[in-house]
Amino acid sequence: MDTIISDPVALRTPSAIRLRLRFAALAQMRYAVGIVAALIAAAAFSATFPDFGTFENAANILSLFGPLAVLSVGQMIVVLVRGFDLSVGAVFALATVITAEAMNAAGLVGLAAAPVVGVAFGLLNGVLVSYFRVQPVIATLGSLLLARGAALLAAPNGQAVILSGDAQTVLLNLQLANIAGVPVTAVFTLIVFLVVAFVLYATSFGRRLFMVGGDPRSAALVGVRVHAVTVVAYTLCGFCAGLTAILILMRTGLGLPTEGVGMEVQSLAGAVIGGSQLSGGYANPFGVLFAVLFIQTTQSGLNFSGISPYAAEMVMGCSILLAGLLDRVSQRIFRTA
Amino acid sequence: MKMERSSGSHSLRRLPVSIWGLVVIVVLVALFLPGFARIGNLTNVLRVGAILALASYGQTIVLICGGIDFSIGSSVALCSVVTALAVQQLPLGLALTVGFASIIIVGAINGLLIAYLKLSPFLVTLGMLLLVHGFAAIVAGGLPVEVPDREGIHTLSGGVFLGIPYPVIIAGLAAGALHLLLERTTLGRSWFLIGSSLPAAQATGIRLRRNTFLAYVLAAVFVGGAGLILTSRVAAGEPNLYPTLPFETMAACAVGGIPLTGGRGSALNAVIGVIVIAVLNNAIVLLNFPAYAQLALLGIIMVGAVIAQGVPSWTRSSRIRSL
Repeated sequence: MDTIISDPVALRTPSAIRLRLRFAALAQMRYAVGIVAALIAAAAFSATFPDFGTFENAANILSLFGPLAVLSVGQMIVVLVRGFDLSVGAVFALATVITAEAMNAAGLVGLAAAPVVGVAFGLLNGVLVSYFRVQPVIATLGSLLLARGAALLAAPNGQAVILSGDAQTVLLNLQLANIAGVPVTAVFTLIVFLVVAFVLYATSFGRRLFMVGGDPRSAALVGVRVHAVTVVAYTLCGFCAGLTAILILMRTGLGLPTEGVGMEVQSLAGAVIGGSQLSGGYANPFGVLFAVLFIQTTQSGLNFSGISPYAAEMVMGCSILLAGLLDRVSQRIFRTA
Repeated sequence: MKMERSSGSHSLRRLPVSIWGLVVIVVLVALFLPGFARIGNLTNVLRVGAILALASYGQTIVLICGGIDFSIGSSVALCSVVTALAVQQLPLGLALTVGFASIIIVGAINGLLIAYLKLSPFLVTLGMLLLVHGFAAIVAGGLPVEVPDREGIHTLSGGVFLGIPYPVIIAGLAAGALHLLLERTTLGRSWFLIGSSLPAAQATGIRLRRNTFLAYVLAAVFVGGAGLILTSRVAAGEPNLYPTLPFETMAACAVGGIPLTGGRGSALNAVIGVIVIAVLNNAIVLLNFPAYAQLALLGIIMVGAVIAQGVPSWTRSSRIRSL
């Protein structure tokens, strides 16, 4: 607690650096888990079901995976700084309701409500976690309850809000549109991932995110404003939840107050299978992208097979356990090498 | 700090801070809501709180060890499904035993993976949340499995002894058992050590892996009690029985003053947290707030309670230390 040089590795010879590099290489391999899993799932299902490996089905999977993917990449940013966000599912549900009502009242401009709601809750979570030192479980669970309650209160009688008028037509047309066969929503999702990757790898803010996640105390000592960075990380996660709400509105044309239950766990699964470690400091948006593709492919594949859709949940559970095992193995190699 | 505790004086200063919160809340609610202080209502508050209490005892053990358990909600669902299926073949008592055993098995798997393979408790129990829920849903065929009422399954949750409902008696006895386990057994004491400093625990030569494993199994015993009472109340095998249970237990523990960072906590903390939440829920119902506002209010109160307990520590610690 009191010494700065608490890490024994830092006290050893230059070989410590080599060890760190080896660990970094292992961590890179860890990011590939999602990719490998997605490929295996796709290959296995294509071999079993002749209709699975078609271009149409691939496009279908791509059009479905957007919401969870955007949610997971937001979750990844929070996990990177040693937190997690249980409120994302409820927040995007609230955002769909508010946005649907705003769009019914004000037309397409109302679409701006979605990111605003997301950012507001992200900011709330971030401030609670960093400045008020509330543990992430409690802070984001509180936001979950608040957002869910607000969503049900905002929707008349807790029922779905139906989009009407021009706004609905525009959104649904966008949902159906595609660029060279690739659904617009998938392109939108990909752009979100590219932006996140840019922020993480090419901006100084991204470096600060990694520093805070890797070792907040050292980060503070070299002048990083740890609390502020944490708040922005949660806010970005909330923003992603807002974007998810737009994707859901495009698909369903409804403001759904009860949507998103269990999505917080799924988004955590996406982040973790994609290589994030809950102890913070690791993140790779493309690992997460493929992890979510894997989850969506498994779900579609199991739908094809006619096996209970809950089998996909079990596969996801096993994947998380496997991710935990991989983390452990890489830690062990790091320590004993 | 442990020394002080075991010196065992009963002065008020040793009581958790959260108890004053509880007293204030109960007094306020009793003063302003005439319906609250009636025996019938109080019994009801405790009856509803009993299930959350039992599950929170399990969470308490795990939190003290420095772990966390997300799989509680799925394991009570599994218990209800297994019991409902077993009751079609077996007598009721045996079916309930099988349901109870299913929860212990989930706890043992958690314990094995966390204690012996040293996987992160967060990931293990998160994975088990999905795995066990998926399994329960598949076994149930995706729909609730009815239990015929003539089996007398309601007795456990609906029965009354000397005017006190069975669940309340069970939760009370379990609180006593948890207290003894945590304060008077070597195993219980070792959990505090494991939760506050793993290297220190290792250095003392306690059987680290076995004791951590037992923490998850014994936590499952308490959760098993909650599972049986819930199963008895709904009289069905319901794969989506209580998905928010793990989060509510964490909230109860936090409100009661158990930090999620490990090494601290007591049965009394858990009981206080559960009663605060049960009383507030009841007050919101009595106030006739719309059902949806209850959710939002519960969230605000939970965070508020935790912030209020943290206030003294802000003034003490420096900025960097707090990280």
